[in-house]
Amino acid sequence: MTRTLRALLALTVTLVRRLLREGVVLRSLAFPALLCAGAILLTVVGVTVLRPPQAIGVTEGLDTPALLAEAAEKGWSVTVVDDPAAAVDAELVTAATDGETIWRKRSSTAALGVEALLRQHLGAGWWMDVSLGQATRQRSYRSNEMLLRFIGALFAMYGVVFGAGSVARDRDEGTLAAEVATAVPRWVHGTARWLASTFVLGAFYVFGVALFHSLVGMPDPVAVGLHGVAASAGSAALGIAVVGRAGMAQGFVAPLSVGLVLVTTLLGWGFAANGPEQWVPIASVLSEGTPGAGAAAMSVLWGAAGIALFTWRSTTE
Amino acid sequence: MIEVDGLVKRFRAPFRGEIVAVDHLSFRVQPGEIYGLLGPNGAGKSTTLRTLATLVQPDEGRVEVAGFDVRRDPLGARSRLGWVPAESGVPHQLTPREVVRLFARIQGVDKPHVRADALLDRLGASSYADTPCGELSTGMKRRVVLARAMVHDPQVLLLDEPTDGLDVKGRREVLDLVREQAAAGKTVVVSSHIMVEVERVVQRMGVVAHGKLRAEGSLADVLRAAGADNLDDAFLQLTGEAVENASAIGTPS
Repeated sequence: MTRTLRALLALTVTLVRRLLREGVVLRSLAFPALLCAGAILLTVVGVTVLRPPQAIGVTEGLDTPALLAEAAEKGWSVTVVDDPAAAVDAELVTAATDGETIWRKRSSTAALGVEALLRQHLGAGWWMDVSLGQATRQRSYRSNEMLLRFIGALFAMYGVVFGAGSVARDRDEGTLAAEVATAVPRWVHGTARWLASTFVLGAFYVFGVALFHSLVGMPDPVAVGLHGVAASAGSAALGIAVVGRAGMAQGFVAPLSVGLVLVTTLLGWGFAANGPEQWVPIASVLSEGTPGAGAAAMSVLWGAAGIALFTWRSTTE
Repeated sequence: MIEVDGLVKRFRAPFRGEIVAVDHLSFRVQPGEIYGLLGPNGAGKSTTLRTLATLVQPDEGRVEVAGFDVRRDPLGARSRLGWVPAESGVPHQLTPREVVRLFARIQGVDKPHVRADALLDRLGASSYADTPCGELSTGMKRRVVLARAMVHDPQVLLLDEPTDGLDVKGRREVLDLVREQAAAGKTVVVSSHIMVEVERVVQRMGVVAHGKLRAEGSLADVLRAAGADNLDDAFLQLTGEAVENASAIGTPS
C-alpha cells in the first residue's frame, strides 16, 4: 500500500508540474481572475479620479454652523452660491438648495446622501434613510461574489477539458499505456489525474477569491472558494469519466462535448434552482448565499465515481 | 519466459460489429531469446503485445508473463515486464531525466535517481537528459521510452515497432540494445513489419495475419514453410498480401 501511495504521489506531483509548465494552461487559469480584478481596480481608480467635487451649494443664510459641522463630518464642503441650479448644472457642487428646492444632477449614493442631509437641515418631513449606503455596499459585495461565481463556472468548463484532455493526450502519446503497464493498480492513474487537475484549478480559483476579497471584499469568501473548488473537482471527475477510451486524435470531440453539455446543464440548473443545487458540485457554483461544504464533500464522491468509471473502462478493454 | 496458449481477443467496432483481432494464437518465448512477431498492419501483433503487457484482457486462452497469469495476477506480470509502445511519445513538458526518474519511483526502484541517471548514461541520453522532451528528435525520444521501460530491470521486454520513425543509426542502436538485453538473459518480444530488421535481430519468429499464426520458427523454418528464398517473399506468401496486392492491381486481359 505504501508503494502504491508513493506512486500516486509521484504521479500527481509530476502531472501538476506538467500542467504548470504549459503556458496556455497558466494563462487560461490566471487571466480571468487577474483581468476581472484589474478591471475592478481600474474602475475604482477611475471613479475616484473622475468623481465630482463633494461639495454642497446653499444660498446665503443657509450655511448654518450645524450644517457646516455635519457636512464636514461626512467629508463634504459647503459653498455659498447665488444660483443653486446653475451650480449643480455646471457640476460645481453635488447638490444645492435655496431653502425651498433641492437640485441634484446625479443619482449617486453621494448625491442621495447630500440630499438627505439638506432635507434634515431644512426641516423637511422626510429624508432618505442613511442605512441605504450600507445596503448599496452589501449589494456591491454580492456582485463581486457573483463575478467570482461566474469565473467558477468557467473553471468548471476547464475542469472537463483538463480531466478528459489529461487522459486523451497521454493515451495518444503512449504515456498512459506505459504508466498502466507498471506495477501499480489502475485506479492510481485516474486518481492522479483527478487530483492534479483539481489541485491546479482549485489553487488558481482560491487565488482569485483571495485577490478579489483583498481588493473589493466579499460577504463569504470561504463559501465562494469551496463552491469553486467543488466545481473544479466535480468537472475534472466528469472529464475523466466521460473520456472513456478516446484519444486526442480520434474520438475526443464526442466525450468533450458530452462533458461540456453536462457542465452547462448543471450550471443552468444551479442558476435557476433555489436550494438543492447547493449540494451538487458545478451547479452550486452559481448558487448564492449557500455554504460550500456540502458541494465540496459531494465533489469527493464524484471524484471517486469518475475514477471508478475510468478504471473499469480501462481494465475491460 | 512468455507462454501464450490459444489467445483470442475480440473487439466491437462501430458499423463493423465484432472483430476477432487475435484468433487462437499460441507461442512460447524462452529467457535470453528474441522473438519476432511479424505481420501486416492490423494483423493482431499490437493486440497480442498489449495483451502480454496487461493493457487489454484476453477473451479466451492463457497468457503468462514471467510465470504470472495476466488475467489472474496482472500486477505480478507488470512488475516483471517493460513495455515499449509503438508511439514514441513522452510528455513534452518533462525532461528525459524527470520521465525516467518518475517511472523508477512508480516501479519502486531503490535509489530511483541513481538508477535513472545511470540508465540514461548507458543509453547515451545523458547529453540531453535535462532538455524538455518536446525539443527532442524521434530517435532521442525513443531512447527515453526504452529507458522508461527498462528502469526497473524487467525480465521481459515487449517492444511494439521499436524502430518506427528512426533513421539508420537510431535503428541500429535500438537493435543493438535489444540484442544486449537478450544476451543478459531477458525475454524479448519485438513486433515489426520491417523484414531486414527481423532477419538481423530475432532468433525465432511468428508470422501473423488476420489474428492467426501462419508460420513459426527460425528464419529457415519460415522460409521453408512459405516455399520462398527470402523473408519478404515468405512474408507476402504467408500473410496473403501478395494475392491481395495482385487482386488490387487487377488481372491482365
